[in-house]
Amino acid sequence: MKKAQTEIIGLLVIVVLFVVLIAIFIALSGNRNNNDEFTQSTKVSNILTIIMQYTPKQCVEENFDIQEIIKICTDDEITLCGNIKCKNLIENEVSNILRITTKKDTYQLTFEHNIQASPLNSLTIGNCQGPLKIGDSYTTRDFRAKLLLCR
Amino acid sequence: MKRYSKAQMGMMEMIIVLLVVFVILILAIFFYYQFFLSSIQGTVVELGELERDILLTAILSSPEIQCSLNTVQKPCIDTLKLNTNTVDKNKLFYNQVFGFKTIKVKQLYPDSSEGNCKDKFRNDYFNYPSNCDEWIIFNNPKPNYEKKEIVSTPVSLFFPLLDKYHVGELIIEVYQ
Repeated sequence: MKKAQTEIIGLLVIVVLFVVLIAIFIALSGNRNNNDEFTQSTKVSNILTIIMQYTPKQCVEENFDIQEIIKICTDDEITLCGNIKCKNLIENEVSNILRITTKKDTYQLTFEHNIQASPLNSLTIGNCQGPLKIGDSYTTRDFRAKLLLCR
Repeated sequence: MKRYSKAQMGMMEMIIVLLVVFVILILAIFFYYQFFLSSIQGTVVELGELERDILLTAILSSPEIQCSLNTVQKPCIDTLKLNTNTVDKNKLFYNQVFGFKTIKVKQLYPDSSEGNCKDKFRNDYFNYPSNCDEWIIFNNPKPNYEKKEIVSTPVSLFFPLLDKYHVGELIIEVYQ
């Protein structure tokens, strides 16, 4: 191998090293982690609590909160609070609360009722679009509600 | 044309090599500094978020506003406590506790008319709480403040006299 060729190989090695170093730097600086997991986790847990405690205005006389309505909603034909189907009541009220409280995020709420025949088992409110940010669930003896927030 | 001796050529080569090494060193220091700076900025953002969370959690769990039933605390805001003027009556004490901040609660759902709920509670209770949407708990803006940072979190609002819950938002304005 000629001396000139050796020099060129040396130069190439330096260039490759440079490129690798720059690539590592860019990768590290691009991965700036604005870790707001704690904030989001508090937010999603607050939202679930708010939903479960909320008293729909149609149910003021009966004094039912959403948690109570979900518990009662074991069949598609069950109506309450002025003859409204429980599934429709939950869907409308919970959608409104989620729309107001989640702001820029998209959301998805699903239910797992202990009673198989419950119409809530097939109910999905919202549609999570974009990468998943955080999720949390609210569990009672009768059901489990799972909320996902995406952006 | 001037001809250089072999030693001069060697010297020049060494000077060029040193120059290149220095350039590489300076570039490396520059990039490291940039990376270090950006990581510090990231930490500042994280600490700021943590501070806001602590502030929100501390205010939410303060006995002046949090719901409680038979001394057991619940995750909601008691609007009856908001309607009393506990904080206003002890403003000097709370100025030291909260500093330069405005703390308010806004009713988001169901829809209600705009207005101060403390006033409506006293003067128009018949239509309360659908005739108002805001409780100002504490208001102490910094004179000539440079910037105002707003943090908020959704909360559950409890109306003990009506025994029902609405949806609201706790808003804290921090003056700097």
